[in-house]
Amino acid sequence: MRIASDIYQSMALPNKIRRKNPISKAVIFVILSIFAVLFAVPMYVMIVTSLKSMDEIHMGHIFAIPIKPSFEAWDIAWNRAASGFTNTGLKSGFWNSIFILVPSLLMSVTVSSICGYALAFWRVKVGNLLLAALLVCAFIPFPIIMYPLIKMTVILKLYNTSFGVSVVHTILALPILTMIFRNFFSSIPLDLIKAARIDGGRFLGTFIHVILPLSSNILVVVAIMQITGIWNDFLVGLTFGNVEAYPMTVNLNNITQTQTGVRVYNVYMAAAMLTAIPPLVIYFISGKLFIRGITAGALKG
Amino acid sequence: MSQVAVQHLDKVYQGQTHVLKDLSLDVESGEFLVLLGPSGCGKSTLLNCVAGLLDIEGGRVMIGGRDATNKDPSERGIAMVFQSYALYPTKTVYGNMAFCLRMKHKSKAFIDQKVRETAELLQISDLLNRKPATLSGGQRQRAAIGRALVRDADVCLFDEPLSNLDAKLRMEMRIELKKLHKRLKSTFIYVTHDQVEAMTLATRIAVMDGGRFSQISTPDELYDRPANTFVARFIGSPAMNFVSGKVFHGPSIKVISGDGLEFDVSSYNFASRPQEGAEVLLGVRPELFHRPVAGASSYTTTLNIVEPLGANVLCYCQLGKTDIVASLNPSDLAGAHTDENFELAIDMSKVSIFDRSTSLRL
Repeated sequence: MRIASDIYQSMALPNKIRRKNPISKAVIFVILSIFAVLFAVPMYVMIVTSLKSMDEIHMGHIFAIPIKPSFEAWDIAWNRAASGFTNTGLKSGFWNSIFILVPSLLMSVTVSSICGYALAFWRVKVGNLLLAALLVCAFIPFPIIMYPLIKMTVILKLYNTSFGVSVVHTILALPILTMIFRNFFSSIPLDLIKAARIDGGRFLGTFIHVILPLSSNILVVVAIMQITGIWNDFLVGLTFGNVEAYPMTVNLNNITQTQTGVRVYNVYMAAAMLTAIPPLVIYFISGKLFIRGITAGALKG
Repeated sequence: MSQVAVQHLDKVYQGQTHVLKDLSLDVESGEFLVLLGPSGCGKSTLLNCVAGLLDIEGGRVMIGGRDATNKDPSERGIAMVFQSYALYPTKTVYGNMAFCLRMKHKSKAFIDQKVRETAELLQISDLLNRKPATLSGGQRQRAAIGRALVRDADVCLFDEPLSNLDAKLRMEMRIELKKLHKRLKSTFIYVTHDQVEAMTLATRIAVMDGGRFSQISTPDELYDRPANTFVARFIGSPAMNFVSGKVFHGPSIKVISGDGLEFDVSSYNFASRPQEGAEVLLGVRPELFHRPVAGASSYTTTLNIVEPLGANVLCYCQLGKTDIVASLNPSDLAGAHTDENFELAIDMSKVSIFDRSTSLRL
């Protein structure tokens, strides 16, 4: 039994097949290590710098381990750093970002998944034309439509509000997300939808009871895309946001850009790390789900 | 009163492919009607039109005496079983069966009772808490049938429900379906391309070819008196043998083949007497051949290949210039050798005769 299962495993999972050639193994190891180091070095420099005092930074050894590591710079960055007109650090920006992120995430996922579902299964008039239009829209760079969008949000009285920023994020994400959902739903067997229609499932009933439970993988992928995309956004927050409610990225920029006098690198690094932490945490928690989601092309019934 | 009536139904795909052409069909209450035909003949399309899953371009669909043409599938009083089973993968068997009742906002107690009753009937009570992925093919099939039966629909539609099962299981499920129909007495409409399924299950079979009905009648009638050469070729395995020839009116009516063989067809019950010299096809089922008794007239053939099947033996012979298959008793082959002459007689009272140009039965 043991042996049989071992054989089965090595057959079923090609990556478990042992590479017998030690040279190719070593080459792969070296290449992967080089890439890992390339990606890790800037991060390492940021972390050690944020833990150093300014005196130590001025010694110029950027790779050196801090002599007396301290979280004081992190404290300043979070609570007291000056940005623009206030001295309240990053924490206000953090909450602003959360208030922008949550509504835009909910709105964009809800609307685009329903649109994708409609395009995949229901005979929408000129559905193919809509799909082509979405494809075009998905590749229009944001700066091109920025001015008309500003005009529109002004008319809708959404300009200069955090909710307005959420709405713009939703609009910008709709084309690509709708296409992602539509393509995923297209892989669901049509017979399931037929069965649901005979069982009395209407448009939304079928969506909620039959389609959504099958879509956890794609929902995770889209959620991660949206969370990182919206969190890391700078331009939309800057142009559409309120001075009082700028997201964390704009906040960070103000801290690092607007100061005159001494450049407090340890605070900058700490602030940058703080801003980068939420997406990192999301990746660490859901990395496995993410991989499963993007590789889940075929769905077994 | 007919339970399901299809009247002058037309289905056109994307304004150009005319898949169903002016179809009319009445299905009586309690009937087991099988739609039979080769792939691409439109049988599944017709079933989908009856279910309301496809819009139709012309005609009407009546269910239970009421016009259902524009009704939603869920309002037609139908249930449907799919070839792929189409069980909801994230729900348990119980959840699958309860779904349609939940959508109708029935009470929890009612749903529970109904699901358990149906599960009892199909002997899947111990599977109710399992997910479809953990079930075998036969169990999934039962669950899918259970999901269809749970709503007490008057009409059950089956779209090739057994074709994903292996041969042995298919036979078992066939018998179960027949039992189920006997017990429920509801109307079944069943699509298949398997003529054995059709012959064994149906009270009536509608044979379809190229979007039209070729013949609608009982299995026996289809087998013994096919209305045209398409049905004659499609029903029966091995297929019917055809000998082409001309009609000759003499003391008795004969068909004389191109290579001079004479077939006395005076016992044949002609619907309309053919003209002298009319070109016809003589259809002979393999089991109408037998070894001649001493002194009786017979045909000399050459025995090419013998296929013993246990209960009977298939003999591939050459009759004149035509290759034929005869199904004989194993004992009939005593003393016969391949590549030698082999005498065969034909039971002429049960042959079929078709007009060669129209392919219709005479």
